[in-house]
Amino acid sequence: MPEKTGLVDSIFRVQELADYIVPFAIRVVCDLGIADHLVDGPRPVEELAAATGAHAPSLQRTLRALACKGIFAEVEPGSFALTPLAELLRSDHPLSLRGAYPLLAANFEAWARFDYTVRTGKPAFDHVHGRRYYDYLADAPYDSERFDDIQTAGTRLELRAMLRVYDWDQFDTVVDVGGGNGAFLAGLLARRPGLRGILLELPYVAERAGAVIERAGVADRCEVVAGSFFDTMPEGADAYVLKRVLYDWGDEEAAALLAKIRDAMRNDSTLLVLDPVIEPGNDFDPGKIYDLLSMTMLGGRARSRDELTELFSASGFELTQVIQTDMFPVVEGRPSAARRAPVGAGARASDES
Amino acid sequence: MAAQQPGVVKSILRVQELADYIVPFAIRAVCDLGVADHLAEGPRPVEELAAATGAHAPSLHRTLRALACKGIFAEVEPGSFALTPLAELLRSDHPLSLRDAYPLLPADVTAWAHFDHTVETGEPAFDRVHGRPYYDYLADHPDESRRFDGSVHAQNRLVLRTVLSAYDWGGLGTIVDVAGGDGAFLARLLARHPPLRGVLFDLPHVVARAPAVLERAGVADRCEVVSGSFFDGVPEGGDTYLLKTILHDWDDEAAEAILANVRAAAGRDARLILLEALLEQGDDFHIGKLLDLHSLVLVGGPDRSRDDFERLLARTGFELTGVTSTATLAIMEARPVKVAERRLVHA
Repeated sequence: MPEKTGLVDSIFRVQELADYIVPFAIRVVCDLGIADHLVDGPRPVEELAAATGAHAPSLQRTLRALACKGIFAEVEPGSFALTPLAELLRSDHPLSLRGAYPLLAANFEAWARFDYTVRTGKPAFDHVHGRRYYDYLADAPYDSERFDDIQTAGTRLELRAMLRVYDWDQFDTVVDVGGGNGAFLAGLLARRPGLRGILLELPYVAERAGAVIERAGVADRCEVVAGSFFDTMPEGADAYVLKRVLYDWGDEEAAALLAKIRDAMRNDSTLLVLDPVIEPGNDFDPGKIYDLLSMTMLGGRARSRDELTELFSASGFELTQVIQTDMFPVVEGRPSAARRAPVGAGARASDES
Repeated sequence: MAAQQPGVVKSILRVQELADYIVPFAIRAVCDLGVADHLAEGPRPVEELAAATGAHAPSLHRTLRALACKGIFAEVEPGSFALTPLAELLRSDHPLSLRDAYPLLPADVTAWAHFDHTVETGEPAFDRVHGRPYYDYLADHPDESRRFDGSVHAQNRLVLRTVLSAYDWGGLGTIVDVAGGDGAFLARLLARHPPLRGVLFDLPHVVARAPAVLERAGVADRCEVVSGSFFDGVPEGGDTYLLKTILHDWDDEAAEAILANVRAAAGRDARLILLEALLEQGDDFHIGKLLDLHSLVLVGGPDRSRDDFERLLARTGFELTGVTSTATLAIMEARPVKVAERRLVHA
């Protein structure tokens, strides 16, 4: 059979895309902190192994595999150095990704049964571990802190993106709803001295926020409220931020969360949702890939613009704009006219007229 | 914040792509479901695909959408998917099909979830997680074992293609394929080169599957099948002894025992060919560098350089005479060291 040109290239591309060896190798070197030990220049793998508690020959094979994908370089036999990609795995890089890639066994035990999710539409995590992901985290401090690290790594990039595209000076008070350990809010307050912040997060996460806020030097302008955003919501703030929270949830819970915010906010408050916005077509969009993470771990979903518009509308919001960033877009919502009047017969009558 | 170097965003996106495990799992799920086979005749709505494969339609839709943004499948109209050049390779009937190459094997993945154990101790995480060695586990799990075999066969197709065209196999006379499995490689070799004759040698339960394979390739009349263990001895009288990806599963002591038995069976003019992943120095990409970690985590196989093979061969009476690199396995050619020369070496 005549071979089409490019067939071998296609095979190599599928092999690259299907490979989970490199993702695991990245996670293990991030957990070991290898890049931090190469800041002052190349080092023999035996020294790296001794410094990180690794088995030298196995670490050598791991670094060699990563080096052939451009992460680290073997500058002489058995000695490794940083590369531009490996620089990003240093803890002290301003946009460090080191914390973004922990090796969390419970997560991968769920992914091992991804087939369950595709067959049933239910999260494999619950199937494998017998409970929902956030309930699991509440009892797993190591996993929970690594989860914070993942969020923090993303936050550096998101903060940079959101400061560029949005005018935060128009607000006096911002609530970060489900704001994790406060890294985003603290960073925002540090860069906008006129702003006051309220962090709303579950107690087991909120207890770690004090130190983050203190370190950023914004403790006098930042309040922490410990609680579930389904039960409690600070009232009357100028803006409510939902950063990578909405797509963690299915439609019913997402609508309940938005309604809770709507009830707590003023008629002229603003809702800012940083979330995937899925466009039609086949263009690359990390949101389409993270959607599967949400599907498998949480039972949530990324939404299209139409789906977000509908969800907003069902919860008393009007979707006013979608602002593209380097990361996920910022979706802005404002209380819709129909909900500005007190809900009651009068409002309904005016709709019908 | 420090001034941003140009290119840092590009680097971040590349690290994100390399660190992404979601696409690999999505590929495995659609391969196991056989989605590509259902698109051979043209685009189909995701509901039909889900019904045909036992999947949950909205979840399959999201999975295919994620793959489509990486070039595997295309959403040609809302909710309808078609094959792309990359997705064609996931069809079962493609001559170089990769469909079976990427099964989602929970036991493998849960071992990888503890990769840190391997990097910290050098021991296979598989044994630690599942309480026994990989091949013992497979022996008790027929479904996973069958899918594992399928993945080896699928990967072999590409190996065959690169290895067959990279070396002059036609003049090798009678080839003894030591631990040659069900004969798939030898059959292909004999079919391609009519002057060759073959002896397929492997354990009894393995060679039991060989006659059908040889028959199908039309080479049964040129190939003898012999059963036995290479630790007990190897058939004599071959012009060429072939060991394809055998030594990488064994430590030096066992590898030497195997090679010594080959040396004892081979005449002084015989040739030995080893097909092994040979990992060169330097940072060039080679799939073998990645698969090496698979072996490290699951089986615990050793990692040998060209020098290591040269030493191993020298200790068993062989001399490495040539190495041909390919995109997959390296072809190492060795000859028995003549007795007089061996005396000289020892003197």
